[in-house]
Amino acid sequence: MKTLNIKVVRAILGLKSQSITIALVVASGIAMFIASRTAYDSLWDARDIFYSNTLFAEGFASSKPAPEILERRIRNIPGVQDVRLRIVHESVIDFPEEELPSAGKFVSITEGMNELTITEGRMPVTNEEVVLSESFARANHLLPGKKLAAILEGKRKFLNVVGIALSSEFVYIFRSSSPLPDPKHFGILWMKKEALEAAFQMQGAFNDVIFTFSKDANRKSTLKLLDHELEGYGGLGAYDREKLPSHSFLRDEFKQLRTTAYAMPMIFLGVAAFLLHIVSTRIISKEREQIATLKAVGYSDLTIALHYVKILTIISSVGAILGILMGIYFGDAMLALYGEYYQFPNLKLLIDPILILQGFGVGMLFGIMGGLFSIRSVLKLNPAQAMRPPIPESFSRVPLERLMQSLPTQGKMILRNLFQRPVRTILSSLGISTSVMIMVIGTFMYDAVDNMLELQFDLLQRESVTITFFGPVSSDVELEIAKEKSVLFTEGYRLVPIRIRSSSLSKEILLQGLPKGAELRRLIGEGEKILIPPETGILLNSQVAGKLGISVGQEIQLEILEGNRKKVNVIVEGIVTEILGQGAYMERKAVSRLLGEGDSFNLLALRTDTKEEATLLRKLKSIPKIGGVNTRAGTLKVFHEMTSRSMLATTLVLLIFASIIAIGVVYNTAMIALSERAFELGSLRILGFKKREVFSILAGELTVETIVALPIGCLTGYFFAYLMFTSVETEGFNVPLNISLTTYGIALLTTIATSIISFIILYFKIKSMDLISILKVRE
Amino acid sequence: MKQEKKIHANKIVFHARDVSKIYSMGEIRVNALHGINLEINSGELVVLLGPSGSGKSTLLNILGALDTPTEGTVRFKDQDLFDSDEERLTLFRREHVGFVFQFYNLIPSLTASENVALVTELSSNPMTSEEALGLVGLLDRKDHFPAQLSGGEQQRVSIARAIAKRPDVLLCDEPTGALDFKTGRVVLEAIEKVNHELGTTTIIITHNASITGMADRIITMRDGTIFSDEKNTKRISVGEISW
Repeated sequence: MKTLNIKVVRAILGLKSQSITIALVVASGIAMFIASRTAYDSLWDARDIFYSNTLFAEGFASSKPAPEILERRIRNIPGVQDVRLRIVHESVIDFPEEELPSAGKFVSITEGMNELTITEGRMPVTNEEVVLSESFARANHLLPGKKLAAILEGKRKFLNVVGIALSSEFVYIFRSSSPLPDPKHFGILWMKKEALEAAFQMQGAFNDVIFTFSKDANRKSTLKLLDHELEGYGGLGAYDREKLPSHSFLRDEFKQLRTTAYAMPMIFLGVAAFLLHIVSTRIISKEREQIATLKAVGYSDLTIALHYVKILTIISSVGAILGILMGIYFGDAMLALYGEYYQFPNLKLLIDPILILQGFGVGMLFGIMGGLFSIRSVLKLNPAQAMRPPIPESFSRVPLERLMQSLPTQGKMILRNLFQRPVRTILSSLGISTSVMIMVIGTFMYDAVDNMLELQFDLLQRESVTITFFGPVSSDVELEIAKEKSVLFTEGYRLVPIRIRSSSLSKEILLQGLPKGAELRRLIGEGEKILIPPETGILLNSQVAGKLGISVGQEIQLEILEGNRKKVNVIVEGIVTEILGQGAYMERKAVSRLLGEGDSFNLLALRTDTKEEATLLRKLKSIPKIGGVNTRAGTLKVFHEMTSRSMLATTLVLLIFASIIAIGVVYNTAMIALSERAFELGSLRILGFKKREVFSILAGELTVETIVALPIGCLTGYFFAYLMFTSVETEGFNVPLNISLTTYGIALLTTIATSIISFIILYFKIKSMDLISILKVRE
Repeated sequence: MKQEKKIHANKIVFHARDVSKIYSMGEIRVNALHGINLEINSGELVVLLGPSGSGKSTLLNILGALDTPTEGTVRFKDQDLFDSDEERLTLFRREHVGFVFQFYNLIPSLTASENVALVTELSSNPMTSEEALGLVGLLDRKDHFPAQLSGGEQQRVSIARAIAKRPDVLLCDEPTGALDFKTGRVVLEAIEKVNHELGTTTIIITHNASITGMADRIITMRDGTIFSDEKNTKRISVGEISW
């Protein structure tokens, strides 16, 4: 081995603890990169395989019952490749022991398209057999062999559960009235077509179409032509896969994961590069004489620069390899957590060799980038100049000198050091601040969710119980429910699917008719102004308006996708800011007028006395028209479960790495300070300072640097959180960013705690060091 | 003890013409050298004497191409030193010059023999680390790290490192400055031995006038100029020197 290479190895071993912490910081960045990317890629891949294995349809349409002879006409529509006709119907599922009424969507089984993946049991053979969606079956402990009771067309019927299945169409299972899945009270039930024909009296008929597009299809015109075919049968508008609730929700979720998978590792690696820069600059400045000696004996600048590049490269590659291993481990753990949540069959960790190479390359790149600037200073060093002792730094009085008069000498030393080397002080503080920053970005998502819930359920949707009906009901039903002892207040809402059109753009959304002076559900406009639903015009969701380029005062076309399919032109009277869901709003009577029905509603919001809620819920179960009941507490629970699971995975991993970085930064800063100042501190010892006093000078400087770092970290944390937050634009969510004091507090406390640990190590290091002997050898 | 050696008066190694050096240390400008004219012959052992700040280190650094003159020219044999770029200066140092510094400047993470190997790997016709260390009497300490060696031993490793590549010139900046008399003498003996046995042109900087006894020629500097330049007619061996 070349002698200079021996020096490389010895240098790394000599800086053991620093090398380890630097390698760990690089490892954290790479691990984050590998873990989130492999988890993301594996999920993406599992979804694609699932979609293609189950022959997932690309187009969807539903209507009122229509004759099956239409199939030929639909098949002949240009752009349609293959088609299946189905029966889809929502009905009440009766679980006697369950407080809340449950409902299910009955779907007829199709072959060769939207096939089921049976995870347990088998497909139905007889008309009494049913296959359940997995989440619903698990939530209600319905394994094959059990029975369940459904109310089909008013008749109670027992069905035998024979299988549990996953479906590409229903990865997420939503009801039209709720923005959240509720697997306990709503699921999918697949049965043979004949069984559903019999149950819903639909022999020879269908009310749902799924199809695939041919390769050269003009999808828009195909959808239009299909709409035309179904027009006479109350077609609700055909749409492609992008608009399928499960798929679009999944797509948005994946977008969010992707942001995390790409942005977080970049931030981590950036921090790692920054730390490497600080550390390598100081290592190199410490080796000033050695570098000059190497130059003096004839080593070229390039060789010397390469020597330091080698040191950094080795440390970075050890970090990268460690990071790759950690990344695979954590990626697997993350995927396991996602797996509980997404439920794709064949979900397994895909380790892409290219990604591994990328991880290694990125690690090296950031490692070398971090050292590059400090290595440049090696080249500038004049060998003769380096042989002379460094020019003593010109200390002078600092701005705060007057205030310092009363300070003890140690205090003055601390302050002068900090002020006379402002660049170094700022760099150290910035280094420490990255630890606060990472903690903030690691945990702020919890605040975002809390914010969202608070705004949604305290400001916008203030009912404690929400009742959804299968169809519109009259005010008699409201009166009947209002009679219940625990009901304090009721409000009926009319929800109806519509399509809005502005110039060539269109979008299907839910129109909500609010009663005059609605108290329980409120609409908020810009600047949190409460908006009143108009009697003639319409209020529109801000994101929908933005996408379609609609502004206040503009006239848009509104098509009712139910009943009379009326098309009317309305004026947009205001823009609504929403958190969950995207809708349009009018006064309820106006909606009824549009529908040509009397004053009716299909959603009832209640304010109840929570103590008596159980009695109420039992009573509600006996009312046949009710499709579902949601309680505020139940919804919150579902929401927390839904969001916290997926976030927990990333947050946990982030927290581990953030702590490593925090320790890496503070410890390194302390160690470097110690080695840089060994000569000076040794002199102090000779002058009679105690080790504790020497420690207090170093610790004092670090404390000031840490204190300066804390607010900087909070600010940069907010900044990056904001960037990450706004880069995720999802269909349904529009949450303001508001980071809580708790989040900042945790970030600050972690950094302070790791600082204290570093201080303790520093203290013992000073205690064990023979500072006086350092003076004897000037090396 | 005293051996015959050849000084080639007709073979000039260094030829400095009107060399001046001004450099700024922080906010102060120092006129370190002005108008130096000097010739050094092959095989000579020159002692450069003078108080601190007289410019002797600056002159040595310029001769060794560690530093560049502000004005004037320096020729090494037939070639103009500062006519060339940084890379050529590096090559010049690599091929022709050995340095010995007051503070040894050993790489602390390398053993004695590795410190020597650092240089032998760069040259075309070096002696082995063992030979070089043998020459300074440190063969038995070759696997020791600098921190395990005494000051004198460290300085002798530094001499071994300097001569291992068989340089044309050996430039020593206060080689005994950090050493006591006894160890200093061992170090000087090593330098003398190299000068004698290998015929290496040697320049030693010192402010210790007692050392002049071992020199062929004594140059005294003051305030950046050459104050005197004399041949030593009564050359004695290092063993006879005392201070």
